[in-house]
Amino acid sequence: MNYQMVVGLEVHVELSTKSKIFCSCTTEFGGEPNTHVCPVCSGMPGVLPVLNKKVVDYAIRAGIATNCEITRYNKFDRKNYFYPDLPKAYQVSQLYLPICRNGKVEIEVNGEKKYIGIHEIHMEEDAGKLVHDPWDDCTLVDYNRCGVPLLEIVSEPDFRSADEVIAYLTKLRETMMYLGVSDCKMQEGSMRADVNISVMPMGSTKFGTRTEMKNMNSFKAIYKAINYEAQRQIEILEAGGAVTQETRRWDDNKDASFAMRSKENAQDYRYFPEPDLLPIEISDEWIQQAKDNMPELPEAKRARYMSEFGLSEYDASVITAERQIAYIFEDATAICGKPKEVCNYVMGELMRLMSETGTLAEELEMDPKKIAEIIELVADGKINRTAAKEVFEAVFKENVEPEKYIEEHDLAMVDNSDEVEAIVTKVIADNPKSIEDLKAGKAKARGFLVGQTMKALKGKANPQTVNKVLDEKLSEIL
Amino acid sequence: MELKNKTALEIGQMIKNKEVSSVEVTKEMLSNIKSRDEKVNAFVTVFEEEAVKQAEEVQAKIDSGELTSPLAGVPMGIKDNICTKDRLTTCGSKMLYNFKPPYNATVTDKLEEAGAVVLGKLNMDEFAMGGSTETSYFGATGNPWDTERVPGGSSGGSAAAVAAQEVTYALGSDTGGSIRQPCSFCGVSGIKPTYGAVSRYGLVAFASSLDQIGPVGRDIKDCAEVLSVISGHDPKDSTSVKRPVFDFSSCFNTDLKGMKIGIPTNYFGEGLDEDVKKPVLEAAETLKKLGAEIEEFEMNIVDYAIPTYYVLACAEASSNLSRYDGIKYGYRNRDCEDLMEVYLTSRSEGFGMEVKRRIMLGSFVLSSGYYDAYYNKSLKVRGLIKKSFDEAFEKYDMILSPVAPTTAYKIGENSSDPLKMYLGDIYTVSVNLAGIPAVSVPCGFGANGMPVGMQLIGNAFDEPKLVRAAYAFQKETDFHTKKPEMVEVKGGNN
Amino acid sequence: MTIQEKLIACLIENTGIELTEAMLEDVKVRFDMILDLIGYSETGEGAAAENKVVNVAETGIDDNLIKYLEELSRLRLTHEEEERAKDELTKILGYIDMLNELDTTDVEAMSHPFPYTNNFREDECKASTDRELILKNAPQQKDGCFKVPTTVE
Repeated sequence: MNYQMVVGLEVHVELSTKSKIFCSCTTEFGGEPNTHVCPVCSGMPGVLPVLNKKVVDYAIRAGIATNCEITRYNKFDRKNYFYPDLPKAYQVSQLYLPICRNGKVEIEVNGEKKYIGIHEIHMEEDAGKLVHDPWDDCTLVDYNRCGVPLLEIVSEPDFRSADEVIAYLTKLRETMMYLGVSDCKMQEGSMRADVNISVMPMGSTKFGTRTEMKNMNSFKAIYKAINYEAQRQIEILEAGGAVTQETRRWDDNKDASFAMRSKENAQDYRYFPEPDLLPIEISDEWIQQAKDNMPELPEAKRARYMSEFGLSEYDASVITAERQIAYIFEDATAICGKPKEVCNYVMGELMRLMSETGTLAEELEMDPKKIAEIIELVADGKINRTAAKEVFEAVFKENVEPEKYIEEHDLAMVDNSDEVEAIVTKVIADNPKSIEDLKAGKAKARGFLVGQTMKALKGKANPQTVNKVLDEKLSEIL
Repeated sequence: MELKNKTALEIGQMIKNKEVSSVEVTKEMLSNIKSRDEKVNAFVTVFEEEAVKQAEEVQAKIDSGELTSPLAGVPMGIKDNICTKDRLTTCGSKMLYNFKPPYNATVTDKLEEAGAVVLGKLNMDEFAMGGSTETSYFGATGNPWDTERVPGGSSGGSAAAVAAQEVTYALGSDTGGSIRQPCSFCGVSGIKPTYGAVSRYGLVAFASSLDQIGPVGRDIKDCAEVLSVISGHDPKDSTSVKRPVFDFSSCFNTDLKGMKIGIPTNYFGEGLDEDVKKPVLEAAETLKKLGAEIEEFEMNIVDYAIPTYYVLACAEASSNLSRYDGIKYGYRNRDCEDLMEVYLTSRSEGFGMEVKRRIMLGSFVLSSGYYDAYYNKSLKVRGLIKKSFDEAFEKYDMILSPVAPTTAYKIGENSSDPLKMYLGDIYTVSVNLAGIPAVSVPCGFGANGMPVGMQLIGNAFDEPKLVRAAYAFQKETDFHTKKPEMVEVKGGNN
Repeated sequence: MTIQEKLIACLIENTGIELTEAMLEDVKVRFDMILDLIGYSETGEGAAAENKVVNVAETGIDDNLIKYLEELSRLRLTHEEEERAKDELTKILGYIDMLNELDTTDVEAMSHPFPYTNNFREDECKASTDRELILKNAPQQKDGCFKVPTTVE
C-alpha cells in the first residue's frame, strides 16, 4: 500500500529583544551560568512579571507577515509542569486567547505553490538549561535562558513531505530575520521546531496516530527525522501493528528516533489565566503602526529587484536569501546607481570571501558605501578590475578606506601621458622586431606592444591612454 | 513614659516632640515581646539587634530633618509572607524555614523609607492558608485576650501582636478575610484594601487574583496612615493600579450625614452567633445616631462565595506553590537519589496537611476534564458576585456586616474539620472575589469576653469613605481602646 | 454523545477555538488518557457516564483520582493521609457542587477583578542580580549552578 505522511510543526523562535519578557535581565546568549538572572526570572517567592512591550510589537509583526488575524484582546495563561529548568514550575504562555490566529504562509516546492495554514502564534517564555555533570553524576541548572521571549508558531498539519517542511522553515526563518524579530540562529537554539508526524493510506482523509519529536534545531536533522519517522510508522502499519502516540527523541548520531520514557507523555498542564499579568488590548492604531513599520519582506524584494533593477530571478533570490546581504545590495545600489555592478560584486566577491572565511551574513560588517566607492572608481577609470578585487578583499577583511588603500598599495591607474609616453618610447626601442612586423603589415604586433607597455606599468595604466600614446608614437615612425 | 494607650501616630508625634526616642520605644516593644510572646507566640522571628540599630539610624535621620513621616521611628511588625531583604521570610512553613530573600517587598521598602522600625516577622497560617494561625510550622499563636483561643488567621500573628502591644502596628495580608477576621478576634482594626491599591511585589503569593497587603492597627486612623504610605502604583506589579495615592485628610470628622449604609439581611441569618449579631446590629444603631441612613437589603449571591473562593484560591495556590521544589531555596530532603524523589520528599515533608489539601484540590479543579465544571464555572460566579456588589453600591455608600460568624474559638476546636473551617470565611471572601475594600473594627464583646468586630465594605477605591465611617464610629465608642488583661497587668509595670 | 464528545463540545464552546480534525483526535486521546488515569470506564449510557466524571462529588474521590492528584501535585501522602484526603476532598467538592444551582450561561468568566489592560515595561536591560545572591538559598549548588540529581534518562 502507498502511504501519505502528514506533518505539523510547532516552531519556537527566540525574539531578539534586549531584555527578557518579564524582567530586565539581558537576553544575550551564553554568559557564565546564572549571571543573567534576577529574582523574577529565577522564580523566587513573591516576585511578579511585567511584560516587555517589544515582545507584543514583535508578535504583531510576525502575525501580519504570516497573514494572521491579530487577537485584539489576548491573555497569558500558565502551563503547569514540574521540571528543574522551569523555576516557577509553570511556563507563562498563551492557550485560550493567543495573540495571532488563522494565518497562512505560501511555499514553493519543485515549482508548485502551496499554502501552509498557521493555526496560531503565541507569546511565551523560554526555560533554562540543564547540563549533566558526569563527574558528580548530577545535573546542573542554569537559568540564564529563563524568560527569554519566544514566539511559538503553530502550523496546521498541512505538510505532505519533508521538502515542504524545509521550504516552510526556510521561508519562516527568512521572514523572521527580515522582520528583525529574531536572529534565528539554529546553532544557538534561537529557532527550533517540534515536529508532529503521522502517516495514512494514500487518498485517506483520516489522520493516523501521530508521534512528536521535540526541540529539533537543524534543517538537516529535521529532514532526515521526518523521512525516518514516516518510514518507521509505515513499517509498523505494514506489519499489522499500530503506531503508539508518544514523544520520540531524534538521535542525529545514530540517524534514528527513540521513544522517550512513557511518563513524559502523559501531561496534564492545568492551564489557567495568568492572574499576575493584565490582558493585552491591541488597538487599530497599534496594528496600523506595525504595518507602517513593516520592512519589505524577501518575496516583495525579489520581485522588485527583478522589475526595478533588472536582476535575474536567480540573482534576486540569492541576494535576498539573507537580510544583511539584501540591505548591502540595496544601500550600495542607492549610492552608485549601478545595480548590476553591485550584484556582480555581491554575488562574486562578497559571497566568495564569505565562504572562504566562514563568515555568516549576520556577522558581516561590509560598508555598502565602500562597495559603491569601488564601483565608481572602476567606472571612472581610477582603478582596473583586478585592483578593484584586491581593494574589495581588503575592505572585507580589514575594513580599509578604498582611496587610501589604493594610494598606499600603488594600485591607481597611470593616467599621466608623460609617464606612459616614456614607457611606450622604451617599449618601441626595445622591440624593433615588432616595428618591423608592423611595417610588414602584421597588425597583431601592435597588441604585443600594448601588452608590453601594460606589463611595464604593472597593469595600472588606463588602456585608453596607452592606446592613444602608442598610436601617436607609431604614427611618427611608420 | 506611658506607651500602652498610645496609637502609632501618637507615638510618632512623641518621637517628633522628643518626648521619647525611637530607640526607647523600640526597646520597650522588645521587652513587651520578651515578656508576652512566650504565651502569645505572635512572632516567628524577632530582629532584636537589627531593630535597635535601625531605630538608632532612623532617630538620626529624624534629628537631621531627613525623615518627617508621621510614622518615622515607630516600631512595627510584618507578616511573615512579606519579603524582608536578607531577613528570614518563612510563610509559617517548614518549606521556607531558612529562606532569606535577596530583596524587599515593595511595601517593606516604602515603610522603611518612611522610617519604620521592623521588630520582626509575625506568625501566620502556613502560606496564609487558614483562619486560625494553627497551621503554622512554628506553632499556633494564642489570642492575647485568652491564649487558649485562636487569634484568627491567617494574619493571626499581626493581630495578636497589635493586641498584645508587642508592636504598634503591623502589616498583614488578606486573601479571603485574613486581615479582617483576626482583627475581629483580637479586638483591633484593619483594612483590606482594594485589589491593586497596594503592590503585591514581594508578598509570597497564595492566590494572586485575591491577595492584598493591608494594615492592622490600634485604631482606624493608624491603619489609614499606614495605607497611605504603602499604597500606590508599583512598576514591579502589573496588577497595581495607576491612580493617585489615597488622601484620608478629610476623613477625620464625626458627621456621617448623607451616608447610606446597606445591611444585607442574609448575612444575619442562620449560622451567625448571637454573640456577634447583637454588637454588629448595635453598631448599626450607633452609625445611625451619627447621621448615616441604614437600610436592609437582600444579597443572595453571596451564599455562593465560599465554594467559588475555594475553587479559585486553591487553583491559583496549586500553581503558585509549585515553585517550592527543593531546588532553588527552602527545605530539601537531601537523601534523594533521583529528581522525582527530590520533588516528592521535599514537598511532602515541607508542606503541612492543609497546604497539601488545597494544592490537591487546586490541581483537581484545573485538571483536564474538570476545568469547565469547576474552575471556569467559578470564574463566572465570581462575575455574578462582582455584579451584585456593583448593584448594591449604586444604592449604598457601603455595606455593614459581621466579619466572622463567631468570636475566637478554642485552639484545636475546628482544626479537624476543614469544611467547617472554610465556612468561617463566609462574610469575608466575597469582598476578595469582587476585589473591593473592607475594614474591620471592634464593635463589642461576646458573652465569653472575646472581642467582636464589624465589617464595612466599600466600592473599589472607596477606602476614604470606609475610614471616615470607621473613624466616626471609633470616636463615638471605646471598644478599640479596651486591652486584654496581659497588657493591663504587665504593661502597667513599665 | 460519548463523554469525550461532550467534553470537546464544552471546550469548543468555552474557548471559541475551532479544532481541526487532527487536533480533535489529539484532544480525544488526551481525554482518554485522563479518563484512564482516573479509572473511568464508559458503562453503557452516556448520561450516567457524564455524571460519573463531571460530578465527582456524587461518587466521591477514589483511590485512582487521589493518586493522580498526588502525582500532578508532586506530593506523596501516607495511606492514612490519603484516606483522610479522599474523605475531605469529597466533602468539599460536594459543597462546591452548589455552584451548579446557578445559571451562568451568558456570564463572562472573570479572571481579573477589574477590567484594566495593557501594563507594559519598555525593552530596557538592567543589571542582573549577583549570582551569589541568587544561589544563596539553594540547598545544593555547584559551579555557579543549582544542583539536582541527574535528569538524564
